Amino acid sequence: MTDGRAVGRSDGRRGIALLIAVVALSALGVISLTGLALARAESRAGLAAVARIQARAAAEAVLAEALLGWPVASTPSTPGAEVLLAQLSVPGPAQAEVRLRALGGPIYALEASGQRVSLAGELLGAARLELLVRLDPPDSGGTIRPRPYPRGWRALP
Amino acid sequence: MSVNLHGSSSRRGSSLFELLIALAVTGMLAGLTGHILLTAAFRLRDRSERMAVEHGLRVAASALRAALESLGQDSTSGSDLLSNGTAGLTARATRAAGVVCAVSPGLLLARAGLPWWSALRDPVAGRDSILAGGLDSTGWRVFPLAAAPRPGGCPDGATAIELPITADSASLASLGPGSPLRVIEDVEIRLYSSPPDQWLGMRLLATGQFIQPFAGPLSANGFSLSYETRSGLAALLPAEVAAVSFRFEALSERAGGVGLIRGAAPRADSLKGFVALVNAR
Repeated sequence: MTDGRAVGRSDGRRGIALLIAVVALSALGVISLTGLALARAESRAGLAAVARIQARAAAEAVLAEALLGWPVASTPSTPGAEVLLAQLSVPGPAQAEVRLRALGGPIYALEASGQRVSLAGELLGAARLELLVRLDPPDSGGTIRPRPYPRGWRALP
Repeated sequence: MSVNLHGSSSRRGSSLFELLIALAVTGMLAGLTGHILLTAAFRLRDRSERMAVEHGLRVAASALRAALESLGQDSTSGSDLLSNGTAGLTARATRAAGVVCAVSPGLLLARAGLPWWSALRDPVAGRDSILAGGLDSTGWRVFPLAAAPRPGGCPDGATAIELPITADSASLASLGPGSPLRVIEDVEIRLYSSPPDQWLGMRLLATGQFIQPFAGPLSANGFSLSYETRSGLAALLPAEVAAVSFRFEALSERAGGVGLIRGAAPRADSLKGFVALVNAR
């Protein structure tokens, strides 16, 4: 009988301790998981912002490359016609390309698009830019040297 | 019998002592655990609020950058930045962009559909103006939109948007097929008070509407601007501005906080940025 009561009290104490431990660990677990979720959200937002910047940097780089000029034969003339002028890959990895589109007059649109992709090929960020340029007659080597048109730059949606 | 009683008494004393020790240790552990939980909860909420504040600041900076980045100028139509104050500015905001396919007296025809026409909203007469680029070297010209746009057709048969404008024939002389155009309206961006908070707001100058929240909430005097020329000197006039520096400051909100951290002081966070006006000369 004495042994039975002693065993009973001992079980009761272990039960309270276990309950307290379970409650405390649960609370700490919830807090840890919430903190982890916050950290992941913060990290994802930061990485998305970096990916957009890398995509835009790639678009600006390929736009700068197009401004160096292109062969006169590559220039479209029909309004709306466009040609691919250049493509670019930069470390990250990010890819970009620029197209020349005829507007129907001496002013043309250079449209650059950049994409930052993951190693698995998933799109992480993108940017599109437009620069209006005026085309002069080609130089002696048959190369068109475009001149940026005033107020011609804009970020495309 | 006495041995049994003595032995029983000894076991009860030992149990009470153990119970007191156990209660003391449990109390200490509970206190320690509670302290850890409260500290963790406080830090978690503090971090969550700081993230919200930082997110709000990033949104404000991103919105301001988008509004300012493409502002430009040319010798004919002047600067898109109309006034430059330390707590706000007024500027031409672009609402749509397109390409002209034909010009006739009092009318510009813009090619419709993608990729020719991109718009945040339809043009509104009395509120918007048209900025059209000349095919020669005269630059852009500003024309008030005289009436509501209507569907039309380009000379080559493509669909078009007819934009009635107020213009004399001389100012239309430099325009023609292939001229770029923008639909613009004048807006004011500044800090305004909506108690108990301060907000970054935007107001349309043509309609005289009340200022609408743009981003926030911010601290009192939580938004400031400064302007630089291309050479890095302070720009006094809108036409001189080549870059805009901005500063936002916001406070974490604790009004809705749970009881664990009630009474903690709000914390401030700030963000400084710099926008180069790409189209500024």
